[in-house]
Amino acid sequence: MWPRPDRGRSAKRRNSLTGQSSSQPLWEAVPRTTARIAEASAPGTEGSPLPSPLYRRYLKRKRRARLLVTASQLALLALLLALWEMVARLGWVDSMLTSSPSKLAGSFRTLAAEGTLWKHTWTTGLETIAGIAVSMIAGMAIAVLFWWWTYSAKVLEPYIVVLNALPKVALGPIFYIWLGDRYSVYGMAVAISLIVTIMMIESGFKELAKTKLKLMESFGATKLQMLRMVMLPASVPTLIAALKVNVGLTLVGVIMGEFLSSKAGLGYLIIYGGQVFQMDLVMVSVCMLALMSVVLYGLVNLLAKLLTRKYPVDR
Amino acid sequence: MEMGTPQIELIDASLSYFTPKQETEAIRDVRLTVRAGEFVGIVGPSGCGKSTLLSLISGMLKPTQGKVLIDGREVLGTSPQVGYMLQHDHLFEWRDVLSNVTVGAEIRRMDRNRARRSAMELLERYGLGGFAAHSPSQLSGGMRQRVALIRTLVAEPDILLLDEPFSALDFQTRLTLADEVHRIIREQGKTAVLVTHDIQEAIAMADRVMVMSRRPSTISKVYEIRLGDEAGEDPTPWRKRESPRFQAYFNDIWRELEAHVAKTG
Ligand SMILES: Nc1ncnc2c1ncn2[C@@H]1O[C@H](COP(=O)(O)OP(=O)(O)OP(=O)(O)O)[C@@H](O)[C@H]1O
Ligand SMILES: [Mg+2]
Repeated sequence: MWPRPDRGRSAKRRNSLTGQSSSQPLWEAVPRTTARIAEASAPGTEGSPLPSPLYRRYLKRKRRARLLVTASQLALLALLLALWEMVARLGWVDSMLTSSPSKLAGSFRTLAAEGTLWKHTWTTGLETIAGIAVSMIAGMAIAVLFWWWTYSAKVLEPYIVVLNALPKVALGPIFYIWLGDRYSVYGMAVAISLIVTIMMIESGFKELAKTKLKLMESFGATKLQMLRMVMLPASVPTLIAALKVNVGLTLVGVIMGEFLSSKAGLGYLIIYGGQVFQMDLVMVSVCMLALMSVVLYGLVNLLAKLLTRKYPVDR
Repeated sequence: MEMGTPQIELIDASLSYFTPKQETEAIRDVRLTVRAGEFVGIVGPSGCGKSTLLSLISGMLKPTQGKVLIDGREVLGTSPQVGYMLQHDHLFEWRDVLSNVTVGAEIRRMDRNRARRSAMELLERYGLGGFAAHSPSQLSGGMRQRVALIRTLVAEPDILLLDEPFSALDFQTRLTLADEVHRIIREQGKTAVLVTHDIQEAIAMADRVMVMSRRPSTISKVYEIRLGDEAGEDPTPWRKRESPRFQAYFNDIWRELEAHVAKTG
């Protein structure tokens, strides 16, 4: 008496998508070319295994819209570069102040050949990644502690608020004295990103505690089980959001730290270029920095995609 | 499974919710005994404290006054003996349906293979066999509710606390599922407390139906449901609905409830 007819049908239809069991004969019956299209265009999506012409048109339109956006983005970049080059060449502005793309390309080549640019970029990149890792791990550990032992969260709350409001740059000299010129950069990076990370992860935890943990409680789960089975997997979206914020903040911290004290890194290069009035050096370093943040964001997005595939949470 | 020994016992149990702003007296001086193997239905106006009562029995809440006993021992916390199907399904989106229904078994460290086997069997039986590998977000509200029910059953509790287990289902599914659940509970000799807003469902499934009054609520009336045939055989809920005395019970309980609901004005 059980499976109602429509349920049974939809179950079979879904199965046929993942290519399991009963659907095999259906695939056989399909002309090969069509089957390939179905496989290529609709992996893991809902719907019939044979895309209808309408669905194919929808996919095509989507792809075209995406292409248009990318093309426009590239065109905009080219336009800006051309404009920059033009105003410098035509002498509408003083090229001593603005430099120009062609001059930048030139100094990029010389700097790259010398190897100093790579060295400084590498230093900044390493500092940033280490900073992100430290603030994420420490932030998570502290947020877990706050959840596990609510008392500690309550006691420390005003301190967290004050630390969050405090302009971390003001701590620069202290970090310099305590940690020296190399490690004060890390100090600054972590100081800027840690508190926000804690606060983001903690608020994610609080939301969960109101809902999903009730079920865990009803089965008599221990705190460790709650952490492992619910808090961590359900926090993946929060963690990803925190990571994205972290990339930006940690970069600010690292560059700030380098401005204040360091003898290496892109921040140092920028400050140095400014002091000796070498606009090209400053601009190249800034471009390098922009490029680096693009790469970091790309990495974070990739990680986010992998993690969300493993721990899907719809909000 | 001795009949007659109270498996669940509430002795003048009261519970007030305390928040910094106010206190809410949800239930007051509830006296209730449920024998082993008995099926009790609870109906009452919304917000009267039915879910609160189940949380007390499950050990998730402690009574502010009075006592809750299971098998004569005071309830101090949740126990594997009790399965509580919460009003909300709380499915985990990062797990597929199969590993959602085995969550309870996993928490209680039960035999994994056995849990998976009984989970698959129940999924199959409740029309979800093809959905074991699906994500909960691909299910309808009623399907989610069935998954939550299966999750409760897979943990193999002796006592089942069901908080509006069929509320999201269409009428047909609801009747068939009620029959099925009733059968499982009877076959395995489980004790069950069912909270529902559906008076007919309560009459059809339960041996006794309790009506709760408005907040602070007590059990205002208890109805022994006798719809079995002369042979003493226990008919299915479906058959009970067809009994000529069914309507009489319905009218009685309806009137009793109406008195409580009307008081709000
Ligand atoms: N966590 C809580 N904190 C404060 N008050 C609560 C809490 N949970 C429930 N209450 C209050 O206790 C009363 C009883 O709630 P309960 O959820 O037990 O009602 P119910 O009978 O299950 O209602 P429904 O039929 O709508 O599910 C309600 O007035 C509600 O406002
Ligand atoms: Mg309720």
